[in-house]
Amino acid sequence: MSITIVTSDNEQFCVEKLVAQRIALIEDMVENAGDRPIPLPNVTASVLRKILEYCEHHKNDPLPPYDDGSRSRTTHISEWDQKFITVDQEMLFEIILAANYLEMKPLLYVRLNVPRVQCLTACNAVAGDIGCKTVANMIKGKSPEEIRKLFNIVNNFTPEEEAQIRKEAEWAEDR
Amino acid sequence: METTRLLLERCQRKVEDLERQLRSAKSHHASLTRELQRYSSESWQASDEYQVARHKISLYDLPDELLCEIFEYATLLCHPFIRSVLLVCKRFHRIIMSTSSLWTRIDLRFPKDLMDSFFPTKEYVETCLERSRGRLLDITIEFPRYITTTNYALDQVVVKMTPILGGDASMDLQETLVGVDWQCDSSLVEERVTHLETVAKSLIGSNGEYMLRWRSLSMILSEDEWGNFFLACMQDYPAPDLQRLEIMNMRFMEDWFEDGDCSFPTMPQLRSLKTERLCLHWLDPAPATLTHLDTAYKLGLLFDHLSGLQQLRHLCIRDATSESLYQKDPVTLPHLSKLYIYGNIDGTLASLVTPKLEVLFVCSSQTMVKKLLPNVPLIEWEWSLDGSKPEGIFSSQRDALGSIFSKMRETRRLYLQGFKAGMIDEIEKKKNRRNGGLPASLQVIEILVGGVRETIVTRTS
Repeated sequence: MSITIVTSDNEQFCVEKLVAQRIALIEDMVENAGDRPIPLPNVTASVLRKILEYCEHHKNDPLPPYDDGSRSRTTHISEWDQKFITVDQEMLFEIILAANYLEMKPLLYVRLNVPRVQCLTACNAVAGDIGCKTVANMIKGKSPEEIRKLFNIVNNFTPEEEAQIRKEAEWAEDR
Repeated sequence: METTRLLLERCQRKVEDLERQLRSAKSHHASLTRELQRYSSESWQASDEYQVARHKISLYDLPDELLCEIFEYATLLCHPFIRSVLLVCKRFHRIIMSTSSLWTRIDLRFPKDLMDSFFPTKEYVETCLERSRGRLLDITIEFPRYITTTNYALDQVVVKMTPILGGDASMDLQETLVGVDWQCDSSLVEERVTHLETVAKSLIGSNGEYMLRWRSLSMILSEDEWGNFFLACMQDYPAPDLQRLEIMNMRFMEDWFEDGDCSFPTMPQLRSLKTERLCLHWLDPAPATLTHLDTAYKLGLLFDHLSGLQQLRHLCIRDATSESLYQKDPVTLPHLSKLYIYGNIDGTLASLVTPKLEVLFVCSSQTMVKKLLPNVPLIEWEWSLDGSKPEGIFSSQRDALGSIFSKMRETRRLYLQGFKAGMIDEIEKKKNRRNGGLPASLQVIEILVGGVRETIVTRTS
């Protein structure tokens, strides 16, 4: 069984229901929409194509092999996911925003029908999290100036403000 | 004649009517063409303006909650890195300063060498305690390898003398110094140790008040007896909300294994415990909440504990060997759903009764499985080459796999790692009275090939 999704730029996607149900927002809409196409006014075709590629690849994912039920986050990204998320910065942020809008993170809590604590690691695998992890890996270990340069961010501190913050954060200096 | 005239008049009227309609259509067409041209031109203009004005999405466009998520990941390995992010721009600074959850992780990663630079400070701990605003804390501590002044100096003897005297002679020199009970009192090292103790104590608080906020503690102790100092600081105060405890290098804390009075503070919420040595008196009384245990086999003590941990759901046993001492009477773990065994599996399986087991994970180089495997839907088996069997590895693997198949009963799914994919076919082809081939219950066999999980057998029941 398949459903039709219409993107903000009016492109129609015919998607297998099992794949589309990896996206929580769509899962909620399917019940009310009947046979009508599901509109996604905040997602463009190029981004939805990427999201669906992700859903298709992960549609049969089992639970992770070991989870001690605690807060055990990791910045590890699997090989396939790494390849999937190797896109330019603009597409990367579009995917993160779309995954956030499509509520892809809580999806696994519902789909896997297991308590939330057991799914923490599994949830780290959703598209939005992979995007966040990728950005985090890009930031990690860089100086403030390198981060600004990488993401084209303007330093809007006055010299006095910056000096004050540096002073307050002296605890992280080498000694 | 009259009929023909009437027909002609009707045709002429029709022609005139059609010609009028055609003129009107032409006129309308012309009007529409003009209108289309006007709109097309406006459309192109608007499109050009849109393309120029279209904003390229950047990191700055992400909402605060997503930036928080990114900051949390970015500081995962080294929380003090949060300082770099604070200094990027006003928005990042505002988000980080107003998000108390970003300050609940405290990473005290001391350098391996006590005298190296980048030493965590008391101010860092105090900043996190203050900015986390009463939230529960997740603490990671990695202590230097040696913390007492004499142990540090003895280690330095080996480090400094090895390039001059060679490894063996340096070790001999160190042993000689230990033999004559040589003592070192370096004021610089002493100062560092005092500083480290001050930082460590600031996590506990003068009356244990910060331990009330501990949610998880992951700690690698030093490789000398200094760890006793920190454990002694901890043992006087309760940690009522501690859910996860991980302590490595406990093997260096002999006092803790010999002194029955040494115990951890009350931890009524403890759900997960990982340590390479487990002692009876630590968990007295055993927390009824403990569902995850990861520990190493040691002189049968592990199995003595298990009977008191009936609520366990995940159990990981490391370093079990065929010579290990196991329980004579098996222990029933009624809720255990995942069992991880690193090493020899026969003794462990014989010591446990696990009616609710869903997954058995084995990492072993064992070539012959003697005990029947439990009735479990999924088995994951990783072949671990221990270095002692470089030759004949494939025949060892084949024996192991044949023996796994022969001991399997109700398992439907098998996931193999470290095995050669072609072995399944070989075993199936050479099926005979001794080698029964694939078990009837097995529906799916997956194997890890070149980092990718591939399904190589699919059968319907």
